[in-house]
Amino acid sequence: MSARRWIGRGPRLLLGVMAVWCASAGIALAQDQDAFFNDAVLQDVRIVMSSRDWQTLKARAAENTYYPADLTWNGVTVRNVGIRSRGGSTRNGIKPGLRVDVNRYLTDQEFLGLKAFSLDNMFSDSTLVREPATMKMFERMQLPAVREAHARLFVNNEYVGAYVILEAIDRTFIERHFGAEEAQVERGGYLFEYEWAAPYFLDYLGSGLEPYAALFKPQTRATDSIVNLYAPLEEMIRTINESADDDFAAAVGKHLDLNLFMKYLAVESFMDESDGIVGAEGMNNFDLYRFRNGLSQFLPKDKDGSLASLDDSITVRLDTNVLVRRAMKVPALREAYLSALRQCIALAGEPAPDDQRGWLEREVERQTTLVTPAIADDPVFPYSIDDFLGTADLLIVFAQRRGAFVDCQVAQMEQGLEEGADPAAACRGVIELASRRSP
Amino acid sequence: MLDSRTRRRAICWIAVTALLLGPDALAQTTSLPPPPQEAAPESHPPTKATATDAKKKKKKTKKKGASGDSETSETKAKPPKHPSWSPVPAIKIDFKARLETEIRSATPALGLDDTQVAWQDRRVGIEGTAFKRVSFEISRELSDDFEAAHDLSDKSAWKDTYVDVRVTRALNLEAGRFKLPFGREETTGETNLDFVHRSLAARVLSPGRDVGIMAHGRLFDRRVRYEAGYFTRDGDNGRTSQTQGGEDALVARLEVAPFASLANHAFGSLEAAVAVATSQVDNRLGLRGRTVLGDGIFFDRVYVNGQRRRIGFDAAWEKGPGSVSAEYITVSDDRTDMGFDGDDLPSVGTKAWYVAGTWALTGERKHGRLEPRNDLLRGGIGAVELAARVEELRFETATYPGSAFGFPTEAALSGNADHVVTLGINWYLNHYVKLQGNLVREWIDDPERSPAPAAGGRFLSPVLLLQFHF
Repeated sequence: MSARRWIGRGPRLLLGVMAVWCASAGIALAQDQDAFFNDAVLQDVRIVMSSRDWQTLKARAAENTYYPADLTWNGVTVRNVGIRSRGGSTRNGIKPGLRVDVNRYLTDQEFLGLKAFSLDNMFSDSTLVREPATMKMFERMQLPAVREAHARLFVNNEYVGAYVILEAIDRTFIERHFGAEEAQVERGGYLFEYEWAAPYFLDYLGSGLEPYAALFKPQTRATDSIVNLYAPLEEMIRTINESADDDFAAAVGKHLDLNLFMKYLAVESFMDESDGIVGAEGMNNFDLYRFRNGLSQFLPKDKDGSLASLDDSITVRLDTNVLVRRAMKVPALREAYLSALRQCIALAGEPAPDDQRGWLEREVERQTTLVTPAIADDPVFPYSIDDFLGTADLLIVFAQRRGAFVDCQVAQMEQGLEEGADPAAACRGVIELASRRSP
Repeated sequence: MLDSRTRRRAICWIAVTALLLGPDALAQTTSLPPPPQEAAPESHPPTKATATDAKKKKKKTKKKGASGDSETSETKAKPPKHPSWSPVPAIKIDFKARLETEIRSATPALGLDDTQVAWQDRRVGIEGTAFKRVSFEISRELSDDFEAAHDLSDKSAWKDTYVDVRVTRALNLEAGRFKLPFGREETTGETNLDFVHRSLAARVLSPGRDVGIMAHGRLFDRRVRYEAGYFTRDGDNGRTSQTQGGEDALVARLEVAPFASLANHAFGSLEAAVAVATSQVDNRLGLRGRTVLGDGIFFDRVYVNGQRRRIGFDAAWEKGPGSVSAEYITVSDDRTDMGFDGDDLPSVGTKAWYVAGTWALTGERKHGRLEPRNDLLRGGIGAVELAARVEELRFETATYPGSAFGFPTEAALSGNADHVVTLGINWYLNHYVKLQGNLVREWIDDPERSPAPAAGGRFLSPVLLLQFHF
């Protein structure tokens, strides 16, 4: 074939090459978030950043200042991420909790498809197990829950402690649970983080929107019209407080999926979350998501106060929160609560094919075993190893006996208790019986 | 180090270039009519304008050539610009294509350690005329271009798709999808750009393309040109895959070339223009500030509600081998009924400007894209041009009542600006192939909202663009 004929075929050859490249241009690396949140292994997360920045971050842990860093996990490195101190009451400069914003500086940057995650110091939990175990229970109850995994954190190649990796509740989370439409930047739903400032029990705060803005901080659509952000919230809380008793479920049901809410409440109650919806200091540790259709849903977070006390009643503080108090007076919602508790009992007690112990007991033991070496080497672990082992034993006892105790209380409530009576009163003996049955 | 895909792409480009540098390669491969015997430098309109305007400029240039321009007499016969086809004598259709690859070298300040190679454009299309009074164009991108790939804006695969009817010299009517008549650089075709990327003023604040209808024409012996139209939306530059942008845009542009009718006047090519545009943005996210290559956001968009107003001024002057151009654009977005009591919030203000200049080292006369006197491997080295641009995109401080409660923080809403200096060298190998190298130096006022906080918000991005078109 002559050179001239080859030249004549040039444009066609070029088109052919272009077609091949077009087909190959969009190939993306297939990385796995599931591997990052795989809680069956202890993850190693490495951060490289300026030593001066790390010292400053610890010295000014109360501030939300970001610092640039490089992140490496399992051979995957992402450069120029933003890192800052995080946390509420657990925020400190000795073992700072960290938020990692992958796209803080480079807008399109992602890490395994994630835009952000947190490294929780679990400063108030001597086992690092309460929250991951509770989130797993939420997940098993088919409620949206963040994925978590234990990790060893290295900063500039120095081991700085045992942490828990937390999935961020953000648009990526919303898309995973509720779909891409809900996660749209401009027209998606509204995600609020509840900010505890003082004990609040969902009382109506008046028609002005400022009090609600002080409590519910938008995480999406954060500069939308104030009326768009808060008028539906104000209306929901007004309805919760002011609707007639016989219309409560229907009226509030226009704003909130009450059956889902009762399920959420049941998980917190079963896991004895002391700082949740009916926390000792009012509502706390939740996000509120308002869908595009106007319905809202509670999302759990920061459950390191769970598994608090084995013998807490399933009705403890239920009368403090307006929504809970009124919902429990509606027979169908009360039944939904008890039904969800029975579901929790069944899931917690579910044996494995080769292990007759219940799921919750196995889970707590598995997690404590997994995290033990990380805690043993933790240079700034705020508890002694004996504290850790002792508390871990208590959590095992909780996992062994909580099901029977709650089961007894549910039966008491189903038989009909006088208003204000504590179903736990008649069930304390069950804990002892369960103890004798435990190995 | 270049990866295998990059190497493969480079090899293909070399092959394409070699193909095009061969003697009369394209003319022999595309059944083109024989090259014109008239030795005329082919001019390109510096702006998109319309097909009709472009043809008028072409005629004007040919007339100059016939009057004995020394540059023209030196120019050798060249193949025609586009393959074309005339099914009947009254209809002519030109076939067009453009292929661009951008290579960005490592930018350590951003944590980008590897050279990145990406397609910028793979566009094909036709344009033509029918019965002398009707011109039309249809062009389509074969995949996402640079801006769509980086979600800088929401670019439809369909580009210019319009029909233009000449009623009189002073009145033409254009309908379809095309660029809103706002901004000098934004309405300049990519083959005529002096830099790898348009200025931030053009890409962020000018509207871009949309569907609409427009009247345009020239008055007073071509010294005044006007364009005015209505568009269903306010341009694809202002929206992304996740944001809607504005609607119902009214746009007008008035350009004056006061010395255009004076032959050989030093300022004969001087043009100055003013443009205004209004549109509605009802409870939508506004504009955002992204760096030149889209690495970081230095000012995040906020919700706006009400009217969007754009005002732009621009000017350009070309003389011999040099050119100077400048542009200034402001945008203001209303925020009505957005406060706690349904009260209005202050508008969100943005402004941008640039000053740019070019100089052809090889002496060609500047008129949009340079046409080499002597193509590479055809007795010359092509045309080489130096280019420089200084620019700024600034977002004014936006207030928002939620800041009192920490959403977002006042720091996140405070004003911020990207200052950019671009130095470039353009090498036109021949009419079809252009190689552009740019050094883009940026610095952001607030380093914390820049992609390079550790470097104080300052970073340098070297980019290379290889463009083939016909």
